Amino acid sequence: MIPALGLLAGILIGVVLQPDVPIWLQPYLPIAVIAALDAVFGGVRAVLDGIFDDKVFVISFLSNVIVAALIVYLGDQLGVGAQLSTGVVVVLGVRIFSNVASIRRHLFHA
Amino acid sequence: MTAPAPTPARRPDASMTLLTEMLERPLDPGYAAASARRAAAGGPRSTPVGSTLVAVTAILLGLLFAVSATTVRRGEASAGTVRKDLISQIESRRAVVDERSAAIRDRQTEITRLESNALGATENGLRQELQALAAATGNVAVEGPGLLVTLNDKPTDDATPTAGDDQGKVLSRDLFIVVNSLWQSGAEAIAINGQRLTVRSPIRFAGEAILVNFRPLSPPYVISAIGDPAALPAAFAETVGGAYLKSLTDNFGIVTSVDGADHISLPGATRVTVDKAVVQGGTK
Amino acid sequence: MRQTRTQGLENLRQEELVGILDTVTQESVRLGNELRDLERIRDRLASGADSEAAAVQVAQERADTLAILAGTKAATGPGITMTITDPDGQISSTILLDALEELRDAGAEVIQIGPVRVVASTYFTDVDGGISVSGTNVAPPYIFRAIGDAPTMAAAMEIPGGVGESVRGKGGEVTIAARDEVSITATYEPKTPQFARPAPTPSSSASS
Repeated sequence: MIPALGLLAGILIGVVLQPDVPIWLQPYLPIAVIAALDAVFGGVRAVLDGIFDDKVFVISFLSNVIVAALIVYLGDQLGVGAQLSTGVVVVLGVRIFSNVASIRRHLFHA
Repeated sequence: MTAPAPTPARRPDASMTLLTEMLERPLDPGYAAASARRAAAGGPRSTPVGSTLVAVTAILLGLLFAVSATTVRRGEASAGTVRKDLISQIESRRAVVDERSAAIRDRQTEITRLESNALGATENGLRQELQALAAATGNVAVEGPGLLVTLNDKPTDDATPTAGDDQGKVLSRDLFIVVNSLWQSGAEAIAINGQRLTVRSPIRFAGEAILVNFRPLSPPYVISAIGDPAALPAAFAETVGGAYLKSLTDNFGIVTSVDGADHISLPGATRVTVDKAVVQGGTK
Repeated sequence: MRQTRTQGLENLRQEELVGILDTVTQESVRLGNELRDLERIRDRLASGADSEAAAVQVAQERADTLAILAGTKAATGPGITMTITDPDGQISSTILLDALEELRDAGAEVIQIGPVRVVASTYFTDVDGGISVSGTNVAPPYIFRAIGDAPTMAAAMEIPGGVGESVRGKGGEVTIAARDEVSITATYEPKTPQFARPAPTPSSSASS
């Protein structure tokens, strides 16, 4: 319950304040969102598996976002930013889908 | 003879370990490890979901989602506005160019008339020289029979043609090759979409747009050439340009037509000054 | 109407639109200046205070400008000389045509190619061992002389995908030298038009 409320609070703060993101940071936002989603679904599945750990959750979130941003940055420097972004999205996307599949089995036994 | 010990069968997808790893173990192994550690120490297998740490992370997550959504949407909106703004600015400048061009032509007509009046009978030679020169530079509007060569982009089925698909687009190069052949065929005066060609008229491109006399044109492109109605069409058909037009149609689907016309009128030119050049051996 | 006017612009990228806006703005400024010049000439002629001698002087100045543009008089001024070599005989008339359009785009006022003065109706055709410029055979190297702004014209030859690249792709070389004084001595004798008659009422309409 508390995480859901926190998530909602964060969304509200963001929508109300509409903070300005510096231009140089903007290209990393979409990839950061995917990385964060991966951490969230990983966390939810861990809760359902009964092996949740708050420190692992926080670290996986932060490291996911930072590493994803780093890869995109590196790609941009090498001139293959678009390709590397796609790679990151594919890998994280596959993980998100299998985590969601596992969550679904837990919740609906289907 | 004993049979060799059976080796475990290789997994058929052994060469794709990275993929299988990704698909079969999507969960961060950190969770399992931490849980096992706690269980070994006699603690619970899972920590409570409601800890402060999790709550703070959740807020950060929500913030990230909201900020990303608003930023990306705002960026899209502003890019669209900027483009629209640029196009409307180009159109208004283009209108200014047209307006000033019309005014320049009017002034030239006035000047020619005033000169004729001011130059007395003694200056008849100068007056005739001016008239001849004005005609030679394309300075005056002319009319006569000739040829209309029309080029249009390949028709697209969808209402919004995708950018970058320039296969069926008329290029500036297509226009100047045709114009080159029209001059070769003996055309006396040429204009493209109402832009009279002079010695200083460039036919250039900017992206997919064609600019003549530094003014962007819209398709279809109509090249109007005044010349001998009996000779011009046949002469043009024999030039490189005539064959070039056909190949544009055959290879790229560009719509072209060449039509004779009894009466074509072309506006006078507007670029009729020089800044740096002076007559050699005289004062400008 | 609205739709046909924007056609050709709506698919362009933002940078291209910025470039076009820049070009059209410059042109509108240039036309504004030209309009002012013409109005000054008209006012001098119309004031009537000037004697016939003054009118003759105005007319003479105009005749000189028109003579430079029509190609009937030799002209001089700052500019460039450009040499295009063609060791392999691969340079086609289209490349020279491209070079000419690019020079015009860069604001060249008076141009001579080899021994031929460039006018509006100058044309190129491929012939054995060279290129015919308005019927005069010119053999490589092709030497362009142009009066105008030297840095602008030199830069125009080296735009990506431009004349410099095409020439080098054919094994040739483009060399450009800026000159304080380029003299263009070739002249052109205008033919009397047989079919183009001065229009009685000048059309001041400009379509798209």
